[in-house]
Amino acid sequence: MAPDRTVTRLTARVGVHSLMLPSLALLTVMVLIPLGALAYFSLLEDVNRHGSFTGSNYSHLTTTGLYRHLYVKSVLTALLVTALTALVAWPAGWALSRVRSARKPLLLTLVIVPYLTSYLLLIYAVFVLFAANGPLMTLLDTLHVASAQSSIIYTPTATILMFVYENLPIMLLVLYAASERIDDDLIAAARSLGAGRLAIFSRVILPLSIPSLLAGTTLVFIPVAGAFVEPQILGGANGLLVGNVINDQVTLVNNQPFGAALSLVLLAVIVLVVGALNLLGRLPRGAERVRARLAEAGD
Amino acid sequence: MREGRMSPLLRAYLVLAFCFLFAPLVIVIAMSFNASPYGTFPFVPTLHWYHVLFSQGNLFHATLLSVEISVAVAVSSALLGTLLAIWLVRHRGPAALALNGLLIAAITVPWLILGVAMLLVLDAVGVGRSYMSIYLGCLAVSLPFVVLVVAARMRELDPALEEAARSLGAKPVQAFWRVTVPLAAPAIAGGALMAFMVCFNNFTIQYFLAPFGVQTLPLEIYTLVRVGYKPDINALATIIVAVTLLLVAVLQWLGSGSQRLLRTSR
Repeated sequence: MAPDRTVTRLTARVGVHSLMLPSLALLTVMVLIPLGALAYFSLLEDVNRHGSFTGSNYSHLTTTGLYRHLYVKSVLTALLVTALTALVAWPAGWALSRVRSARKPLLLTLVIVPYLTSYLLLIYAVFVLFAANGPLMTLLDTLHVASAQSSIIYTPTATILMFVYENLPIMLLVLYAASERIDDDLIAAARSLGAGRLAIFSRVILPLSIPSLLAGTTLVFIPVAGAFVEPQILGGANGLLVGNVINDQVTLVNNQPFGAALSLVLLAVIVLVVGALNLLGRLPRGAERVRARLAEAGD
Repeated sequence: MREGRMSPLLRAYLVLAFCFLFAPLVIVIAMSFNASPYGTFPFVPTLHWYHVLFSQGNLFHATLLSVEISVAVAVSSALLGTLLAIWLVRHRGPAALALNGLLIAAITVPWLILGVAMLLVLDAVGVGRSYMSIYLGCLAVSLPFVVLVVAARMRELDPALEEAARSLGAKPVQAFWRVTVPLAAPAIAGGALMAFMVCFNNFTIQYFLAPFGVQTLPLEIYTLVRVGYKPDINALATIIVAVTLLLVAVLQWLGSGSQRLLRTSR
């Protein structure tokens, strides 16, 4: 090959690859290096004394009961929120997939609106709705259900309610998409083969929905496990999660290395839990089995 | 359940779910027209809080600042994201895998952890909290939305269209600019809109990277909400929900609505 042609080819190749270079640079500087640097900072004694390494941040983190407690609490809260959100969203998603009227696109559009509204506004809105002497408590007072002065604001329950509320749209849309793919004919076929309601759910609907449930679980679990604003505003003194400690260490206490260690451990915990959930969901291989069985039945 | 029929129970549940989803927003919108400064009854209609919103306090300025930053981020991420999407649909191998991994990291790692990590690195190199930091941080977390939307559209496009242009005598670059880009334009616009909203609403990254004293809208609401009920936030929330509704309608129209969102959101 003539050298000038090699050069032309080389410039052509570099020319094509230059398409991805700006993004690569951005993601390297703002995502890859920062995440890698968390490990480096977490091993420092002092953020201004580079090179003096210590494991004390991690030993402090693992030996202090408070931090272990907060990690467990954050994971359990996120799991509870995920389960509650799925429970509330699933029937709604199923129902939405069975809407046959012309209103369906409008309903889908409406579901996305809260999802694309600033979650700080959502927090504020929930705050206003549930506040003592607010609209809901006034209504409950007139119905003699509860006193207008009482409120669930500033309790862990308020935080959980908030998490469910802000994650409902995305879980609903994911489970809507799953339900949409389950054909009515499938259910009719299962029924004609003698399956009752429970069997239809556990042997057709559930296995076919597991991949979407897992996707929804990941989408909800991760942000909730890393949240700190909701508990700070709505959770009161007993509602704090591990995200609040990370925020405090970085913005108040100015102990950046310890904040980095807490963040990195949280990331590791999240990866472990999400990995475990995905393994758990894949164990039965249910969806494939149902598909295989239906394919056989169809022959 | 017969074809086209829904049990009344299921229908009632769907109505209930929508009520839950919209009750807080509807209350805030209603309260923005209520004269009581503490959100109490009786309901006395007024437009006073809209006047307060535009004439007093920082909410209006914070909104303008957020719009400016978000427009800059949306335009930049549309450009960078489209270029990356073009590259990604044409390349496989370790480099493409690595870039996909970075995009997934940017979209899934909790913003708290990313924000802390970005702040530590920017502090270490002497940049610290700055407008540039907010811009780059928000750009990094908005970029994946554009890439996923545009790449999905590019994969749907029939390669035969570009080949037809080629066989009619167009050079590769011409075929690309005059066939592929116009066909992908709605997706690019949709991605830019997504990026705008992701940036406009992103409290956490801005919280860690904004210079002290600089209040974007999410930061301003954060400061105010801890004080309690603020009728002018209600007025602002009403405007924002209305604008969001409009933008979502545009997204649907561009074909990047709920279905696309499912595949791209964090």
